[in-house]
Amino acid sequence: MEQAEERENVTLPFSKVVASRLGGETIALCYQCGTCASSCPVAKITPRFNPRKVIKLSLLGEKDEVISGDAIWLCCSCYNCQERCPQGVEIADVIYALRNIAFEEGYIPPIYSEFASALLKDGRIIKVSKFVEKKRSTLGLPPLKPTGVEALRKILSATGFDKLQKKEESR
Amino acid sequence: MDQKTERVTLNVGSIIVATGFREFDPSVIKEYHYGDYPDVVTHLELARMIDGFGPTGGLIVRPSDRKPAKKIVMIQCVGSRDKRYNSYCSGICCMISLKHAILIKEAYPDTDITICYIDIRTTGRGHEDYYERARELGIKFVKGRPTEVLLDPETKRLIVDVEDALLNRFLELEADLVVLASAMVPAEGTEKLAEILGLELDEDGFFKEYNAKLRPTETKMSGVYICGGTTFPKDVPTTSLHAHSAAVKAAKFLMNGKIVKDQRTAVVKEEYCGDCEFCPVTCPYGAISLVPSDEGHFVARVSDLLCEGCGVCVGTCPLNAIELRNWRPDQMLAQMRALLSINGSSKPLVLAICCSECGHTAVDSSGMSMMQYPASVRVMKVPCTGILQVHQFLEAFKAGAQGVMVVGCKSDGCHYEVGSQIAKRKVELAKILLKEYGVEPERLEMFNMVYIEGAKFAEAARMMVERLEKMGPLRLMGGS
Ligand code: SF4
Ligand code: SF4
Ligand code: SF4
Ligand code: SF4
Repeated sequence: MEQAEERENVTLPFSKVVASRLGGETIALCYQCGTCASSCPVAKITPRFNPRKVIKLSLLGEKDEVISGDAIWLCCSCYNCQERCPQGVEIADVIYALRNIAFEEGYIPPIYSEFASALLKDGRIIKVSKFVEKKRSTLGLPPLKPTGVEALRKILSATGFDKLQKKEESR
Repeated sequence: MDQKTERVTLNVGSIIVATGFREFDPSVIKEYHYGDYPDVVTHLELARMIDGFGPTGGLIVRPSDRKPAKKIVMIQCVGSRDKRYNSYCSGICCMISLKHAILIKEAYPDTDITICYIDIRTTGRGHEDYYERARELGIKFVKGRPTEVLLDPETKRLIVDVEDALLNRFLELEADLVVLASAMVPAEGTEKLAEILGLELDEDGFFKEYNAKLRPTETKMSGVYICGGTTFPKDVPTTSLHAHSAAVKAAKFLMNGKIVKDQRTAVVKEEYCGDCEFCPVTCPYGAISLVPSDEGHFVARVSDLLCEGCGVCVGTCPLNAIELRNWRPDQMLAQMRALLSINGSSKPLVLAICCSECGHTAVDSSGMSMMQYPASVRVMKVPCTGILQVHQFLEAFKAGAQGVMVVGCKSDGCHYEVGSQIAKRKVELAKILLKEYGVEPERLEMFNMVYIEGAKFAEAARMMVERLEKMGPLRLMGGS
């Protein structure tokens, strides 16, 4: 009994933390074959990101290196890696789980933080500029309708996103 | 070449299944383009080329233009260790790649050979020497599983796209020939053969040994043995060992000239059999068949040879038409009454009906480890808990038990496959009946354990006695 309680109080190793998050469940299956890396269009053009290394570092508990670095934000979510991983590691989803942890702990590249503010404000991550509006009309496209920003805010507040973003902005 | 298919009927006393395994068809792994690009081959195809008497006379060529293959890339774990196809390690393909690479390099030293691997597995006597020899010969190793095999449209050469995970460097390896170390999977027709012989397959589709550690090459059908690649991919020495084991067992089985069996087999009282077909379906050994009776309908009949005496059919038959020799209901009732005739302690009497496999052995292990449980717990052994019928639980209460424990194997470890699951359903049914009769259903409980769990049995027995003490004495209808 006591032992069980003790076990629960121990802080989880980082790999277990990731595995307990939505999207992170499959992380421990990785056996470092590198299929994801050679499948990854981003890793092929920059040494700053390699999905295999992100997984390995997370499994080894190198939390700070993983969540404070920019690697996890470089994945373009093409899911190539996930299609081909022989162990069924949901790599792109693991990376989302890592991003969520990073965001909660106050690590987010400024550009994403700006997206988040814009989303809360207007319901779009990118501001619709005069240029875009003009371009649309010359292409014969109808003007953009206002977003359902009220409903969106409700969702974002239910997930706690707004509070985290406020905290982020006040940093 | 004038051979024709012939059907031969043989009368045999024993069967050894040695149908081997087969190479996995890697064409389903689209990114490797097997079957698409002619210069992507498997090790079986490469072995034909290496063979001096084979179609190329020992030359290693590109199938597309039959020109010598100067650059060869081998890809390991194709369809093995891959959750999408076969999650197991096929165990021998690392050795096959090493062997083929060495043979080629020794014959044609200027051939450039690279092996892309996840892990190199060379367990087994002398096998590591192959790995060493390969390195000495200058065969290259890249730790990384390629994502794709591409075809350069201009040079018509293959390109293997892989990350060298140790250097964290992306390589595009040019190749004349790409060899896939394809997984080993069960031979064609394995399922059909299993059905015909009444054998079980494991989760990967290979034949299942009765007990791979203690009774290798045996199956649950006595007289039928399995060996070699039928149970899992094996190298030659292990296959030979396995084959010897099967041969010796078959010889021993035949040598007596007769089969000695336990008398504990089932008998159908044909006049009661209602032709319901429950027992033939339930028998884990396929020992019961329906045969025409004298009265123009069908009755169940048990094959004494196939019957293993579990009694599961007895517990299944809704008409009480089957009995197990020496385990007739009246004999069991007499045993029960004798066990419950005197208490001799102040604690409530409990009848613990234990199966002869895990259940009773768990009781033994509790005794061997000097574990204590109340003396008012009486142990009765039955072949398998699957033999029990609902009315027998009620009889135990009538015979003086304050509580009844049914102790069987874990449902996935039952020695007679379905016995303990069937018993569980019976116990649940009996609990409903007990409630109807105004008896607390908690007086009856099923426990599942492994044979070494003596402590678990002792604990269960103590728990049961405590529970009954709290409940107070049993009141059967009519009050007593
Ligand atoms: S492909 Fe899958 S198993 Fe291989 S390194 Fe990437 S995540 Fe790990
Ligand atoms: S999903 Fe991300 S990690 Fe995976 S291949 Fe695409 S960019 Fe690379
Ligand atoms: S033996 Fe080697 S190539 Fe074959 S599945 Fe196992 S690790 Fe992969
Ligand atoms: S006792 Fe068991 S093996 Fe024999 S016929 Fe009945 S169910 Fe089959």
